[in-house]
Amino acid sequence: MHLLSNPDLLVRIASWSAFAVGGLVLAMLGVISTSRLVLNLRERRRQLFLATWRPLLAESLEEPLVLLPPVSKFDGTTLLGLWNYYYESLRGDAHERLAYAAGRVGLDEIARRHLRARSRRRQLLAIATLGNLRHAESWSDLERLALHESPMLSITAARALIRIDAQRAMPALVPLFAAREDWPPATVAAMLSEAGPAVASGPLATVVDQTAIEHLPRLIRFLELADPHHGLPPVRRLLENPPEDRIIAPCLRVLARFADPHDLSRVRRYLDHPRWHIRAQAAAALGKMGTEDDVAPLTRLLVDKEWWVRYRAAQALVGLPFLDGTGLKKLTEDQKDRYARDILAQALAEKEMA
Amino acid sequence: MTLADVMGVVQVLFLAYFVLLNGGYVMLNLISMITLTRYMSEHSLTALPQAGTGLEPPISLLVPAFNEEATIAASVRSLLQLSYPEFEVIVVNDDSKDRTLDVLIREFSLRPFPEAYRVRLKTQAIRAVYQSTDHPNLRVLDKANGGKADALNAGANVARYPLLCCVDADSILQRDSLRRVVQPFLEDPRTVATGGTIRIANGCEVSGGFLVRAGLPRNLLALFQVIEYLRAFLFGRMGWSPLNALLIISGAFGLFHKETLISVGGYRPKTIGEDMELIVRLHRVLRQQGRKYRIVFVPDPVCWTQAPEDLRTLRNQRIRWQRGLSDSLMMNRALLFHRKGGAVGWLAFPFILVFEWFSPIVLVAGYAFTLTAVLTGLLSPPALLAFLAVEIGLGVLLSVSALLLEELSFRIYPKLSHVGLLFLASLLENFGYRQINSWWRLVGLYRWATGAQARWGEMKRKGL
Repeated sequence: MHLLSNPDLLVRIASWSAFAVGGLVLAMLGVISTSRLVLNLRERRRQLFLATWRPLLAESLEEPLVLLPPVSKFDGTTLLGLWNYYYESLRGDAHERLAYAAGRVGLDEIARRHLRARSRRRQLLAIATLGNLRHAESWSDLERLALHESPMLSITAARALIRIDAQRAMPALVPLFAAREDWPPATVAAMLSEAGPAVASGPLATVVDQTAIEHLPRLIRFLELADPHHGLPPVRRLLENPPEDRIIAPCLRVLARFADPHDLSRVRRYLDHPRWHIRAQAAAALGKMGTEDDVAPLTRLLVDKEWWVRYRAAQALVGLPFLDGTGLKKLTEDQKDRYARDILAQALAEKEMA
Repeated sequence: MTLADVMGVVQVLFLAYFVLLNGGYVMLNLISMITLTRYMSEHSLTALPQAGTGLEPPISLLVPAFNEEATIAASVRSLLQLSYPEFEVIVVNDDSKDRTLDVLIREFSLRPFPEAYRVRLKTQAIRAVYQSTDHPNLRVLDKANGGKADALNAGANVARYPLLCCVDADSILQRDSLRRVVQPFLEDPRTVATGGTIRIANGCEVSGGFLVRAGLPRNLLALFQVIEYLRAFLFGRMGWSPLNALLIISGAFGLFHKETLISVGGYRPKTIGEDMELIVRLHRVLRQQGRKYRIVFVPDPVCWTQAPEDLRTLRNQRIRWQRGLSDSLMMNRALLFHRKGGAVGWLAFPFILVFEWFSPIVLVAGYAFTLTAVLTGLLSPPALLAFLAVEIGLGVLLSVSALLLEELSFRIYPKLSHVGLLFLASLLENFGYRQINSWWRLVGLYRWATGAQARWGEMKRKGL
């Protein structure tokens, strides 16, 4: 205490600061210890719950269980987590059986309660559950959440809507797929694959004309997941008079994906484009759909100044079904340019390895 | 002005420095607390199976290897088992003097491959490229010696995928490390680099190249480093990341957008701290170009590394780190208060410069000053006691707040006794460990300033 009333002001300040800091340290330690104790108790409760419910859910996969024990409000989150874990791990009939078990235990009500929780973790679990349960009554809530600014919340809600009714969800979601740059393309592609081309193709094709140019390259990439009947016409239209260079490469990818011989002339037009990534994409597309007429232009690209163009041209040549090993060997030997020979040798070696 | 007056002024200066330093850390701590809490709830569903889409961008893992014959096969085998949809492993043998290359050829059935790679980053000559016939996603480069940075640049030249993950050969990764560290690239297309939390592997149980049980080391030096790493990652990096002002991604494990890395010139071979220098340069160049970009820290523990357990190795490491820090800051000093510098140029860079780069001088001078003042009677024992109490108290407070962050997030160390032991370590490190560290860093600063030849020193490794 002598320090706290020291005549020197600096010493007094330092002493009081040390005192305060010590108090803070003790308080933090208290928080850590209490939190760890609470957590241990919760973990013990969770383990007990899981010990009962894991076998029950596993059993319900074999035969529908009519009687299931009631779930206390403290165990709701654990049950949601466990149920979703099973649901995401399994496929086919198991989903129906899990849905039946969920119905017996009132999982939808638990999820609805969690949807109103403040905790983001609980909300996410609730959204995933409602989607997996195909809970149509939650449609409007999920639709609202799909517009939420949080990418994680909105994507999870979008996925839930697709699971509930993909046909109904698509017209509202496709514009978001194009515009929400914070939705990872891989996740969007997974959602479109889940919906299936029969459902996704129409809305994707329709929305192309209404999409702003800045979002167009992103949207065109998703057309690869459409069926050719819907996927090709908008791409062909765009390639007639491309509004911007950066939409050409994604369009060429779509043409390569469907490999329709009618598009050959459209692809060949871009083999000499000043932008290298467009030339590379055109070469890759010819690898999927090219004819004997394309061997010469592709061979010419083997000496392109850009490595990727040379590589894609070599891969395209090696992949052409009518060029066999002897033909490719002769083509390699005929090359006077070292870069052309090297890149063809690499593409051939890669093919052999595969 | 009397000597007492001068001492008084110096005392106030030290105090101001001390208050600003700790104030800065407290601010970083608060930012981390908010960010970490949000991150943990936002990413809670990633624990579910099928959380990945299977369509994540492919990754090229670059593994520089120099004299790693004892461990390289196990390391590569564990890398090949990572859980990620599409990736390749490129081991770069940097002219090892032992049998590293022979081991790789034998263990992975390598055969020469006619790779027509592009030399986009200038490196020492590549003698041969090998392809594994057992693992189509494994290639090995054999090149003339040029150091770690040069090896990574060579790897970048032959990498086929858009994202490059630079990994130390002795890093122990979580099986889902790539899936976690790629998330910022999926969530924001402006992302150019990400790094995750590195943890200390000493005291942990490792099996098949993966960590199976977290534990604390018995060695006191390693235990102190556990505390240091918690502080450095959970609020040192987590605090700067939301401001897009992260100045380092550990060389042990970092993920980069390949084209951006190449556009800034790749790793700088002549630098000691090539990992930090690259990140500071990325900030500088991208800021100067006015490009929109993000360098993101992922708090998930993605990589475990072995910490030195003897004073000599630790000393070499700390001297090297300080020299690396000096190089990184001085080579990119144009970032400091640059008009386009943003938070990194106006906050993080000056903070690191004043409170990390310059701190060994202030701390050692502070100790010397205090000792002199006590010996000459200018500082009374009660004053010494009070100032020491604040200094140690704040040090402990920052360590305990890192423990709190750990408690709020990952709780890697499961037992309450672990928390107790870490608390004890955070107390004990104030009596000798922190001071000797400051001294080593001062030596590093001196060697950097005098341009003494840099040496890596030998890392003594224990089997895990």
